[in-house]
Amino acid sequence: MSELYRFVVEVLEATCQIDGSAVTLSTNLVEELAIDSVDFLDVVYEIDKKYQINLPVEDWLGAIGGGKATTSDFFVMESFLQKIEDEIARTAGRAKVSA
Amino acid sequence: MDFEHFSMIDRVIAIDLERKRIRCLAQAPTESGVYRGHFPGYPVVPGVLLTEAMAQSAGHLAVLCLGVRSMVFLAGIRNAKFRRFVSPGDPLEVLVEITHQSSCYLVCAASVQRDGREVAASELRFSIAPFVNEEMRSSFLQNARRVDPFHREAMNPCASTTSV
Repeated sequence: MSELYRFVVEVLEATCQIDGSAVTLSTNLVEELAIDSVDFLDVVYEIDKKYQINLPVEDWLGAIGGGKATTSDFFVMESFLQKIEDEIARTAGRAKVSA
Repeated sequence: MDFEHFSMIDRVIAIDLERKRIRCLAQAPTESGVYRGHFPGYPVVPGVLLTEAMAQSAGHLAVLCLGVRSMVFLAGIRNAKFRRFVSPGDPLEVLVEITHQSSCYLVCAASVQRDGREVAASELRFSIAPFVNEEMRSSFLQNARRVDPFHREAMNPCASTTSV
C-alpha cells in the first residue's frame, strides 16, 4: 500500500466515519460508501492541504454532469488516487518551471 | 446586527481581495425578541448568531473574490469557540481571511472581536456553486450596496482595495 493510499483511507475514516478495512482499490467512494458532497469537500480539503495541491473537483463534476465521464472515472479509489498523483505531479512541475 | 432580518453585518470597514481578508462592523442590537429567551433576565447574543456574523462576512468576501459569478454556501463549522459573553449594544468587529480556496470550496479563518479582544472564533468551510437564480445575485448586490462602501472598487479587478 502506498503512503498516499494509507493517507486517503485515514482521511476517509476520520472524516466520513468509514471502516477503512472496507475500502479497496475498486471501491466507488460515492456510490458504495455513499460519501455525500459535504464530507467529500472535507476529504478533498485534507488532501489538498497535505500535498499542497488543488484537486479540480469542479472540472470532474462538470465532466460527469456533461456526460463526458462517469463517477467511476474519478471516484473509484484507484482512479481517485491516480488523479491525486497526477495533480501532485502537475503542481510539482509547475513549481519547477516557476523556480 | 438585525436579528429579525438575519442581517448580521452593519458595515464593511475594510476589504483586501488580494490577501482575501475582510473586516466588518456588527453592533449587537440593544433590543431584540431573541434576548427574551437568551437568557431571561440576562440578555446575551447567542453564539450561533455570532457564527452567522462570521459566515455572512466570509460570504461577502468570498463572493467578491469570485467576481460575483458564484455563490458560496456554508458547508461546515470547525473549532467554534465562544470565549466571552456579548451583551446588547456591544460594538463588534468581524475578521475573516480565506485560508484555502479550490475550484469548488473554500476555507476561512474567522473571529469576532470586541475592543480588540476575541470573543468568538471558528473555521468555516463553504461550497462554491452558481447563483441559484438572478434574484439571489441581485439580492447579494443590493446588500453589498447597503453594507460595503468598497464593493464597487472590489468588483473592479484593476482597483486597489483597502488594507485589512
